[in-house]
Amino acid sequence: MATLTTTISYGEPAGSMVATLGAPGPAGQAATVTVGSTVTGAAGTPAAVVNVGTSSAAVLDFTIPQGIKGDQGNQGAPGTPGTPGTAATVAAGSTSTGAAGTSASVVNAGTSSAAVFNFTIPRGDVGAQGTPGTPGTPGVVAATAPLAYDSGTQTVSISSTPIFAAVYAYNGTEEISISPISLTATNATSSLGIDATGITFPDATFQGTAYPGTGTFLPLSGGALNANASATASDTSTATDSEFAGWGLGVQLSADHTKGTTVEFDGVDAYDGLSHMQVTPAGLTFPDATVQTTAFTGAASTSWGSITGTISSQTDLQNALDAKYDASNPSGFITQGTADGLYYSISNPSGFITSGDLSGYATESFVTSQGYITASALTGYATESWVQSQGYLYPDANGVIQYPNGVMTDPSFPIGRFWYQSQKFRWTDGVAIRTVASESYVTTALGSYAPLAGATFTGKINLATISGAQTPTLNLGATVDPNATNAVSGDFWISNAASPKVSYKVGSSTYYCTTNNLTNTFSSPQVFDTTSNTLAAVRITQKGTFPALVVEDSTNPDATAFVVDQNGAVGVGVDPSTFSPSNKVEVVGNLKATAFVNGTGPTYNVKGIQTHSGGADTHELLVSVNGSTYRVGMRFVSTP
Amino acid sequence: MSSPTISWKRGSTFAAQVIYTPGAGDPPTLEGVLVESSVMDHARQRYPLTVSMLPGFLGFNIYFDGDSSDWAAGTAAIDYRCTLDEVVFYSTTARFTIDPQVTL
Repeated sequence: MATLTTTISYGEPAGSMVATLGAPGPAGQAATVTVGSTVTGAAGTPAAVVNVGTSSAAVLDFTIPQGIKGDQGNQGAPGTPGTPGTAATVAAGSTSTGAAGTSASVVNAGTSSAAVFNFTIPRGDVGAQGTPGTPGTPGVVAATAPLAYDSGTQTVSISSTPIFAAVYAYNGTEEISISPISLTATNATSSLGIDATGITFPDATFQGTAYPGTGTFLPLSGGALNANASATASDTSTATDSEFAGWGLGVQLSADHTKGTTVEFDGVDAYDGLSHMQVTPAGLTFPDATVQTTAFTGAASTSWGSITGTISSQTDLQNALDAKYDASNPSGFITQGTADGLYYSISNPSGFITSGDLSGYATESFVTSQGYITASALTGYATESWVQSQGYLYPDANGVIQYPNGVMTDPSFPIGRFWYQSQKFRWTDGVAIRTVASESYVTTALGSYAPLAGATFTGKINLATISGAQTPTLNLGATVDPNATNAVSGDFWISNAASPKVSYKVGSSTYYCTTNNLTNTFSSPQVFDTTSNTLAAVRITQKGTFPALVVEDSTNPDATAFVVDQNGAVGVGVDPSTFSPSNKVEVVGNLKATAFVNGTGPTYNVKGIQTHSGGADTHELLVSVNGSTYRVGMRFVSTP
Repeated sequence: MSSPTISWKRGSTFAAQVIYTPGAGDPPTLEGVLVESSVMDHARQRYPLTVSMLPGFLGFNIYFDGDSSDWAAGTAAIDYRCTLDEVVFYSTTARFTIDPQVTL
């Protein structure tokens, strides 16, 4: 017996499964099964099958239990009749007629003991045809015109032409109607009408007169007439052409909406839209309106320019041509005389150019090899004649530039033109003829002007006068307002008005510069401030003998001024004009000070005077020296 | 029936190597034998296996070419169907346990 040992690759725990694999054995003997006994067991007991034989020869004994109680059986036989009940009542209700072929029905509308039956009885089928009845008594028959009744034959006939107001025949979609005045045939899409005025066709066209043709008619448009004859209509409004052609008739007439040939009984008119050529019994009328009434035979005289003669005679034309022949110059070449000024050579008296004369000139092949300007390459370039027509500058024999059309006097000549005339260059701006200034003119004209830079200006600049609300930017002119109200920040100007000032404006404020030898009046304090701690904010140098500083009140001259003279002596309350101090400080008035000092000595101060009693002194002078107060006795001497 | 001693966790590749040990009178090798095999899980769902013969024909490899994560956990069965000269042999059925994944 072979075995197959299976080891799973991924498993825990590792192990193998062994399966046996054997070849099938030989076919065995067929088994037998025999039914043994069958016993009915008690209801509710299990059934049993017991093999009382062998496995290959089975004998099966069955024990089958009795079945359980079954379902209820069928209804039993009817019972005995009961006692008679109360007699029922029956009444007939409604009776209705049903449709032929339907079933009759009876419905109890009452109760089972008091029935009320409603009947529905269907209509019977149609019965068979009955026997003919007895003919009745002939009646009286009358007829009105156009009908007539014959009582003898009992027939009706038409006695006269019937008159109908209208006749209609209509099949649902088509109709024909006849009235005393019209006949109309109508179908679902169109109609044809005939009345006393004519025929109205389905396309609403109307024909009021008989068509005059006989036999085969020419269609109104298109189609074949015969022998390839055809006709088309023309319409000038839509610019369509017309044609009548018939090769079989040997004629083709055509026209478009602007031209054509008209054939009438008395002539033919060919018109190409511009001119007419007419053939009429009166002759030929040419486009230039000349009329030829007789055949041209050639015998009439004619002319060719200055040559006159007759057509039939060729000699007169020949003679005339011969008269124009110059025997001295039979070929019409340029003669010696005509060549004068162009080219003349004794060796070549006829003026021809010989090959030797062409020596030094470029051959065609050379020119081709070098390339040349073709006519197409010159497209867009101005021609010489055009340039001449526009005019251009050119020098004359003296080298003076000239304008080709001469002196220009029209200022409206095209703007920008420039020419030389009367030793001046001129140009026009479309308004006037202008002259270009020469260098000498400019030099002379500018001689009185100062250059803006690079040279020394020695003249005087005259500027406009401003005042009041006028707006100066830089104005150094005369009679200038020192307080020009319209001046803006940065403006600088000098006024020489009654109160002249050098003025400038910063922001919205106007400032004045002090001027020498003048009284400068300021409306606000003049503040001198400096960031230097070593230099004076204001330094006054007086090199003369007049006081260096005078401070006055509103009085000028002020006799009680504060004065610093040229030597540094200070006068307080003095007259500057007479101030000549012998001391460094002179005060006209009281002098008030906290203390006095003499050089490096002690500080002293007079603190007051008080009365003194005792002795000859009447008063005491209180003197402070270095902070200590001393009394100095005083004795009256005299009054001032 | 006793519980199988071989367990295998589903979700991993089911593959095994099968060694053929011939008995007396049996073919010496499996050469010429068509081997087929399937696994039937606890839910009686069959999964055919791919069989490839080993060199020398003394065994073969089997594996399931698919996802085994939905195999029913529990006792599974496997057997082999061998066909030689149109005669079919079935091996006995071997059993193993398919374990579920604990950590999902």
